[in-house]
Amino acid sequence: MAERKPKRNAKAKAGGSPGAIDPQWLEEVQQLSYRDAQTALELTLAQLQSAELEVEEMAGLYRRAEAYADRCQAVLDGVQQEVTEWSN
Amino acid sequence: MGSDTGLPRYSVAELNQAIGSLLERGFAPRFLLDATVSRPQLKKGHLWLTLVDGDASISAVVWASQLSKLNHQPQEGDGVVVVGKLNFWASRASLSVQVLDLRPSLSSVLRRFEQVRQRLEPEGLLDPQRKRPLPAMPAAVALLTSSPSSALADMLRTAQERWPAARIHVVPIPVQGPVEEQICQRLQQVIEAASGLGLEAIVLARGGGSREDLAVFDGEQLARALAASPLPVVTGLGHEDDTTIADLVADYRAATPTAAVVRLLPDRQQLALALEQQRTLMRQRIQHRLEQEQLRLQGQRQRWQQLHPSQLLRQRRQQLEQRRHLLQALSPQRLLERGFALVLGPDGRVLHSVRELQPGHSLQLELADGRIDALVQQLHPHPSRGTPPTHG
Repeated sequence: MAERKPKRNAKAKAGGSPGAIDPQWLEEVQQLSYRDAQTALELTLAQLQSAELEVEEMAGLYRRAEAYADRCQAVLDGVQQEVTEWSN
Repeated sequence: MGSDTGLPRYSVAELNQAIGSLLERGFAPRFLLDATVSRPQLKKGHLWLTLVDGDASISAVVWASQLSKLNHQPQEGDGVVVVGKLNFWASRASLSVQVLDLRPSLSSVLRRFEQVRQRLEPEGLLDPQRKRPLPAMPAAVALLTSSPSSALADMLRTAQERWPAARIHVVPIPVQGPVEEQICQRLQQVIEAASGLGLEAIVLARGGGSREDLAVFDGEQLARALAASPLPVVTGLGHEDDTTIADLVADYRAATPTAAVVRLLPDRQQLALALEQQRTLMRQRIQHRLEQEQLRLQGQRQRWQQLHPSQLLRQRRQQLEQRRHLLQALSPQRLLERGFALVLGPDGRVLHSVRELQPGHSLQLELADGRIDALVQQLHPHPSRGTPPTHG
């Protein structure tokens, strides 16, 4: 899992805006388990809340947190769909 | 002489015949007799014995033709219940009981039960810790019981209702009389075939009857065979109150044959119900967990929104602004505006003590809006204050 996990501190591609997300990193996020995405989300939120947060990192961290939250939501939606199908 | 007294007069043959006639007319053709067996002897295939009860005794015979049909071969001292009829041999005026059937009395059966129990108990064969768990859902079971019988029919019906998936191998056995050897043989055959048939348990059953009828299940040989069985054994013998040696040795003793099947085979309806409940519970748990995770994610989303870079930047700007204000508050210019002045000595350094000066020294006074050049005329140090440290 650790090898597949995207680096949370991965920088945006050269030439992009400070908050831009590397598409490859985004693809890797789509492969994360719910637990890993949750953990990553929680850590990223903690970083965003930290007094030590570098201003230059704000936008990137914010976008990454959004990607982790989206991944969590997608997993939950998928499972919910399965449960609904069983129940019917 | 007889005619003179008015008494009946017989020849011996006539007397014996009259007694025989009287007995025939005045006595039940068949009766039950409780007795103890004494001196049983085989003579020319017939079994001669004396039936005693305290000081009373009467001779008895089991004809050879009947002897092989008896459920119980009487031994010296056996308490028995005899089904008999009176035999009177007119030629010798000899009276005996002709035994039509014979079975051990209850006291005799219970005595034997106790004897066998006392032999087996020291060996640990009756130890509850020996008892093995029964298979939860046996695929195949051997049913040793009499066939056809109402007990077998009840057991098969119960098995079909509860767990039709189980294969029931009916093994007919005799269940009454001196048949212990035969039961043991069938049991051995079942054990040898168990692996091939996939048997997981053995049921030994017999319906109804009196306690005396169950005497065969008190046999020591059968008890040892049951104890040696590699498969768990369930007994269902007689009625609820009857306990035989086989019951004590078995891994589980059911009160009746049907109860044995009930214990051994699960109830598919109950299992189906339990399964449905587990399904519901599982769905509820999954749903609950999903809802919990949704709530957590919503909370994280809210935190995330509050952490938007615009918001964070606003906070940082506010912090910067606060520091600017602090900086301004700490500015020396603010002190000068409030009426304080900086006093600079002749060398242009800020003075902290009057002791750094002498009358005639020139000074510069820095005010908020300008500077004053001045001369020291006289010094008045405060006597109680020490000299402050000098800077620069």
